[in-house]
Amino acid sequence: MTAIAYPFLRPGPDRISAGPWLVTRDGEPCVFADGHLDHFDYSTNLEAVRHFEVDVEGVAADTGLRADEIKLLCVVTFGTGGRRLQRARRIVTREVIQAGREAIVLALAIEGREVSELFVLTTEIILLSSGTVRRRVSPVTTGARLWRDEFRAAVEPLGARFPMEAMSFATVFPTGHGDALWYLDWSPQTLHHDFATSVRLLINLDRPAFVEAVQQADEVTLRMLMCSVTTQMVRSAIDLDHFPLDQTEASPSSVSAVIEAWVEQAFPGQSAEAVRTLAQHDPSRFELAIGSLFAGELGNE
Amino acid sequence: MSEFRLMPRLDNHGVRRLISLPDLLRTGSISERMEAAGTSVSYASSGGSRADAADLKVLQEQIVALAKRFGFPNEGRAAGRASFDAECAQWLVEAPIISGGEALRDDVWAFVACCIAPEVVLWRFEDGHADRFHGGLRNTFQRLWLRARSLDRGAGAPQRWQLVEALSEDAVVQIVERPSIGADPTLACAIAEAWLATAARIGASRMEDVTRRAVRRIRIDNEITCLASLGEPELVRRLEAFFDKAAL
Repeated sequence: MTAIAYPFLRPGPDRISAGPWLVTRDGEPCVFADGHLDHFDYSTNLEAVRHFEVDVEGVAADTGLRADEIKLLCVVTFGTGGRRLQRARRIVTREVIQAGREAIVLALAIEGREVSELFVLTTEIILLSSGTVRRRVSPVTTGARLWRDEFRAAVEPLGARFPMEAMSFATVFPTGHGDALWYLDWSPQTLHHDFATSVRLLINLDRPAFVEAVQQADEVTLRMLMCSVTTQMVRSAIDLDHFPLDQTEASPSSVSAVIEAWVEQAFPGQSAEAVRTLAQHDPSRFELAIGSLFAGELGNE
Repeated sequence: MSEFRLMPRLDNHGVRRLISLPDLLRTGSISERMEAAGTSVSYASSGGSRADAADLKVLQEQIVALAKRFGFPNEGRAAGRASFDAECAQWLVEAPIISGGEALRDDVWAFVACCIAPEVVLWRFEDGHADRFHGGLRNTFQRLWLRARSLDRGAGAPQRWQLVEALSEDAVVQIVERPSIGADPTLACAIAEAWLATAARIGASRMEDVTRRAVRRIRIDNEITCLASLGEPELVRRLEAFFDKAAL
């Protein structure tokens, strides 16, 4: 998340008392396990409610404005589509807050067919009008963002961390490679794509002993496999000038983010450039570090 | 309420598999391409009815018919392809087949580009770059849907699609393909209206640099100011000021 330096005073967090979003489906409260809502589909319609209270006098004191003049707007923005940056966003609720009207209830309906992958409810306190300004750094511009919080809910099951598929290499690679054990199907050119849908480990069905070892989650087999896969991906990524991708471009579930996490785990605190140098000048240590990462993790998925 | 249509989805692995088979993209059928994609094709497990073979065939025929009006498969100049973009964009938003949450999914548009109308992709973008098939902002059809969704003045509005037709490609990229502003049609439309007014005043030839400067400032300002929350007159005034300043 990029930190924003606001060029105006903002209220302290204790000036806003925001209750949790209560999300219901057919009148029953929804449970979000790790931010994920189970059994959601396009026919699911939700209701969301939260209680919200603003200490207008405190906000005015913190921002150098007059409590009897300041007028605030509470807006809720509904966003959906895409894992990190939403593809669709619109303001769904607006409530004016001012002295004498400090406690409100925010309520909105979420139509299932409009939701894609996740939904985000962003609540913000916006300056509607400042009235008399007492300090040079007081917010004066209508629309100034004074406070925000975000409720994020994924509605799709998260896929296996390492998608695998068994297939006959004699069929997939008719011109050769039929004896290979596995093949990692991915491209270093698509680091910004979602890991779960763009990386796939193909296991050769024509090598039944290997297939069985993988299916039985044989620890040594899986560890060696994972080690080779990780080494390949890390080595390819660190050779790219644009790795790791800017956080504003890559989602946490992107190929880049997954590789970056491996790099951080295997080479804590080292830059991609330092890891690249190590891979070039001391490949044994490089592979040793990566080889220490896994302990049959594929078998747990 | 009509039942929601669930579109097939194609993961990135399937996209790569299909674009490695150019003959299949040029001459294959939808079912042949789906078969080649294998397990990379999936659907939402519930929540509507799956688009069946007849639905997909209709979608294909309509896209191809539209492209034919602009020279597909053998002809078509740059200007014609730009016109195809504008018409196809409007049609995709108005077409009932891909809508709601399904239209926001990259893998749905990857399926459209790779299995429904890859021959149109290869006509529209002769280099056949992989990004034109993968889901995302560069996908041949998704980019059009996104621009029409963002720049739609609304059903019943006079000259509903004028912004889609009038904005330059560069302006569309600057406005629609920036999630912080393009995802909110209210804001995106207002910026596009300001672009149109400025272009009429200073001439389209100056607009590329002006747009880039203005949009950069708008994006920065939008981080600290909730532009979408402003009423229309205030929003228009604020956005025009950004363009005016950028045009100095």
